[in-house]
Amino acid sequence: MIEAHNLTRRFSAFTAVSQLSLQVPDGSILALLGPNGSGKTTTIRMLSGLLAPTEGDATVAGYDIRREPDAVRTCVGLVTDVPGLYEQMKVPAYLHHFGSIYGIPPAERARRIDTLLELFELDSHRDKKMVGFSKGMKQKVSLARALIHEPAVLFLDEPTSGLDPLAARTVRELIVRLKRTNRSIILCTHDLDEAERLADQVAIMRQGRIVACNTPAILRSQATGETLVRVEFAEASPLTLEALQTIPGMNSPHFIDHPDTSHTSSADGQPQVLALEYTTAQPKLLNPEVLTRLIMAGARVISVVCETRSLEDVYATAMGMSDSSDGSDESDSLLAENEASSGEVKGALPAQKEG
Amino acid sequence: MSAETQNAMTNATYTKTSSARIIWLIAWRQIVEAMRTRSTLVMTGFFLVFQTILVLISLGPMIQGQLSPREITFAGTFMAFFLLFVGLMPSTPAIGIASGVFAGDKERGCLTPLLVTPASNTAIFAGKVLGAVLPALAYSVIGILTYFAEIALFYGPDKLALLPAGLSLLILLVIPALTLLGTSVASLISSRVNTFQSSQNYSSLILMVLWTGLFALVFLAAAFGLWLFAIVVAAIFALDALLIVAGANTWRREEVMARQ
Repeated sequence: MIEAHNLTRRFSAFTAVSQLSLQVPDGSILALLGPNGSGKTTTIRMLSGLLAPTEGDATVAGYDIRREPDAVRTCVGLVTDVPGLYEQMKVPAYLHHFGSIYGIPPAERARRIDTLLELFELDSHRDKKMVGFSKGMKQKVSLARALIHEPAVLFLDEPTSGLDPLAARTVRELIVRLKRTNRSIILCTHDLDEAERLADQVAIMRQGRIVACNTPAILRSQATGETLVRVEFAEASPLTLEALQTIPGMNSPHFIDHPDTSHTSSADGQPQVLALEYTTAQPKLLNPEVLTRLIMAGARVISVVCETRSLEDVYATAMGMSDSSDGSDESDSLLAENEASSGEVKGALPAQKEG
Repeated sequence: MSAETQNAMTNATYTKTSSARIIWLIAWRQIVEAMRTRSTLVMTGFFLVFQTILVLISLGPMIQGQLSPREITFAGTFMAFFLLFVGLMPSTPAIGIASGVFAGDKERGCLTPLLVTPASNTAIFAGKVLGAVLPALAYSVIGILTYFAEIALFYGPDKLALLPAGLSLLILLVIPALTLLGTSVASLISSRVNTFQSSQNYSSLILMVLWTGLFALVFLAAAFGLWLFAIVVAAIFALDALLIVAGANTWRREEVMARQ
């Protein structure tokens, strides 16, 4: 479990992290999203006992990061984007070195190293020096090093940065496996897709503050509050746009051409309207009503697709308003929405607004 | 020194490693990495070859054949100062390595994994400095032993007796004192700058000033007597101890992180 309340870190006049609060239960992943310099790495350094906060408190695996930083470090594993290995060493010797520093008895150390080499599929490379390893393999060794003392908490600072897609996928799969071992994990990343796929909660940081924090699904829905619905027909819609517009709760209904080009033209060569699109804040209520009317009118519905906004849209909303001159930017409203809904999501504690 | 620690998740209990053991683990890793640095080995090899040529060219004509008492004194003093040279020169590359113990590791990303371990600030600093000092001392010992071996081999073991006992002993003491000073200063600078490049620049500047002062002191001491030389050696050892203790007490991993 990781809990932070109003963590702030200043470097002289520069505030790297401001009033940051979060909670990561055991067995869950919090993804920290944000541009370079938004305070993600500083947050991780504070929580891993490497950097004392200027203000605020936090506990990691039950230890206070201010009063017990040594104890915190016994319970955390840290992986950065740079593997930082002694590359002339072989993997087992390298892991033995760190295992010794953590005070793990030799027999137990050897057992854990064997387990980790097997887990990370490095067993066949145990007799090779790491200097010849690919970046993906080095990152695996880095993960193994972070796990040698079986930490309760893992901090992963852009662990897939610079990896090829396959290596990145392997590392992501490993992260999911680590989560299943009941660890609390904080993952810093620029990769929105990675955050969406791996994280139970996503916190978007901007200028040292968390501007949005919730599950990826709730963040997406909160960004607009609306769902885009597309209904596809086998033939042209029997209902006109005017008839559809009378249904309460349906916003911006419009017909579009069928995405499949074989269906786009009628016999006279004109585009054939074979899909209806609209947005709604209440898809669960509206969609059955729309479908009932369409089917009653004789429409042959092929499919109904509901899309909420992507995390990328949410991220853009959180980031894009930073230049707003009136000071009441959209990211603040996103934050306000999260504050309002924080009780709905276990473990999601959005940051407090400044001032 | 030892204490039990419990892993929060696994409930695994194991003995906390003593500071002395952690210091040695860090130092040993540093030593192995230093010894594996090809450029250092090449430079050390170069100094040994250069030293051999000097022994053959400059020392040979001076100590071969029948020597008058005046020539014996002159040759002995020359051999003693040559001893200082061969003791210090091979350790110079190691001082370069010391410049990288913190800054170089930080650039390569090797420092953060160490800083995130439960090892204390003092243990990390002491381990790093010890790991920088020991290779430098090893290179000095190799240089000195090679020098003695070359004199014995080329001119006969009896020529070693030409070395003035008191001065030679003090020189053998001043070599580790200076090596320790050089590596300590370089390590201290390395721990407080951001890049290896900066560390090397500052270290070479400071060491240049220190060594100029040293040679001035040595010649001054030679002129005024061995007692003054002995005081200088003691003062350098005291300075070494002061630097290391002050460095260990003031170095904080947080400063390293804050500078990144």
